[in-house]
Amino acid sequence: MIKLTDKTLTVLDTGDCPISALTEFYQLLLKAGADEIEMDWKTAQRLGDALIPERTVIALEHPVQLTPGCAKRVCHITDLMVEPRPVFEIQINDVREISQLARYAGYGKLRITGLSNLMSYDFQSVFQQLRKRLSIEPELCPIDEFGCAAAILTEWVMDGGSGVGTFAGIGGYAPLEEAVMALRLARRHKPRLDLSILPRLCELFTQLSGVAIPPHKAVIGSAVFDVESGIHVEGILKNASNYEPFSPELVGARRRIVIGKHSGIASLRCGLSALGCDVPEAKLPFLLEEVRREATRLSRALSDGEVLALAGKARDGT
Amino acid sequence: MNLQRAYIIDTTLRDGEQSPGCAFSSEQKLRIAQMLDRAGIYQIEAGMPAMSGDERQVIREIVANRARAKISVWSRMNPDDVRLAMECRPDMIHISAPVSYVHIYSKLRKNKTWLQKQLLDCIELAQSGGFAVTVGFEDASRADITFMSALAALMREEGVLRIQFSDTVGVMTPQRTYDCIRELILCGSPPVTFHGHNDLGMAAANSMAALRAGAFGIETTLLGLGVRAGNCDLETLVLAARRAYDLRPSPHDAQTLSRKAKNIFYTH
Repeated sequence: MIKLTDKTLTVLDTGDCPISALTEFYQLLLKAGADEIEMDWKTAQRLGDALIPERTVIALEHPVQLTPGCAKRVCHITDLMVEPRPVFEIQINDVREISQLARYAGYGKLRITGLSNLMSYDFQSVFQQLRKRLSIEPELCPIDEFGCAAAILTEWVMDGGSGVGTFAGIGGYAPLEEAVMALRLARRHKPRLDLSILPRLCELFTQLSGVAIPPHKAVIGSAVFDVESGIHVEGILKNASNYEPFSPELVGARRRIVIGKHSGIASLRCGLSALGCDVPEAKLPFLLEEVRREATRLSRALSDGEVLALAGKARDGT
Repeated sequence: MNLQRAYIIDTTLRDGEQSPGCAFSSEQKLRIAQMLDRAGIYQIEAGMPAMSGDERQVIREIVANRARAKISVWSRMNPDDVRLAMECRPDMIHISAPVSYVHIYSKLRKNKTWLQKQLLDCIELAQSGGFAVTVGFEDASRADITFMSALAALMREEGVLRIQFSDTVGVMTPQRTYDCIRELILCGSPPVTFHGHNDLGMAAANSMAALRAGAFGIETTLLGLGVRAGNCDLETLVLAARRAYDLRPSPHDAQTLSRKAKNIFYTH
């Protein structure tokens, strides 16, 4: 069974943020595809009645720390005398270090953090080795040192394992929203999950962390569904799936046709129509040349006002 | 330890520039091409000749000024576009052939028979001018692997230099990438390159899987520039692959390229 844990709240220091924002962020994380949310005990206490203990993992500073009501716990310090034992978190940076894992075989519950270079190897064989050496099913929390963590997490989970990541990859872990979308497309995992909450989750994330989401960030970037080039716009106008992996509405985004250097006649026509501007068909090739020249001069796409100004000139023949 | 040799094909000037809002001037394109060439990039995809006369002019200048890199141009599967590509006198003409059913039937509004005939006509036209031809399987990630395998074997018979597996909408995962590239190679394809998009954040990982499957090279862009969530970022790939593959540029040069690219892309 696929199981994902979101440890965003463990990574972020939310001590000073308003409780209302923290609570809403937590509630949206629960809806964004993770099965469990990990956080420190202080954050769990701040959430009060909003906390859902059965979907909560507490990151402990020490294995003997008490967490009444929360059974699932994880700690990077081991103490075999403590019962019930928390999940023991170990760091294995390099795949070549997995030969040392056998000593943890008897521990019971294990989380492996790291393995950032796994994609240099036959990762399916490495997965088999991990299971063989440990005789248990560890959780995997890949580090995103080489931009491969979402892929490692997704492959591990599709191979039957449990995995850990964070929203937008904060803290250098696997961006969970990428794994959630990959599982949805590849395995139809949670196909009814309402991901239109993602823009609000991004807003809250930025409020809590002070980190802005890059506009082209996979799945959640605000400009991911902008489209300019003539080939792409024409293809999308015929059938959006020609050039979109999933619909913008699925992630609460919208498609925006941008007019610029790479626009074609079809995209220009569409863009003008959206602006309520009518230019005779015969004048479109001339207007397109002007658009391309101006966008190249400015080294950017044109604003609506700039497009309308050029359209007016083209229409009036000036 | 002998590392497997692999090659970078940089498409910043073609697919990277398709990123909405990106509009390089001729001077910028020449500067980027020069940077890539000096850093040891194997092949630079310099642009789309069918776009405009200005584009053809700057591509001709890139061809004239390069020191070592091979220069290719991108062409739709259309004889008029191929003729414009030939005017630029590149080392290679890359002809893009949409191979998924959704692209064949709803974008081209044609069928597989038409596709194959049109592709062969375009290849013959480019080869008649003495150009090496590479063929891109556009939207390969959603295409029928049996159809692609047969087409890839045909490409070898036609003397096509390489084929490219394009994950046009960025939906591949590493194991699937490995399996597809492996199957194409085993079915007698010419050498295969991989072009990945980052819609699921997996462009670098998929590129690594393609190399492990035996791909000849990977298409990248500077800073991962490209439509939607971008293409495979050159620096990310070079750093990820450095211990398993013999790649140019070096990690240091890739980082320098990224820094210079930031100055060009974001300083107007």
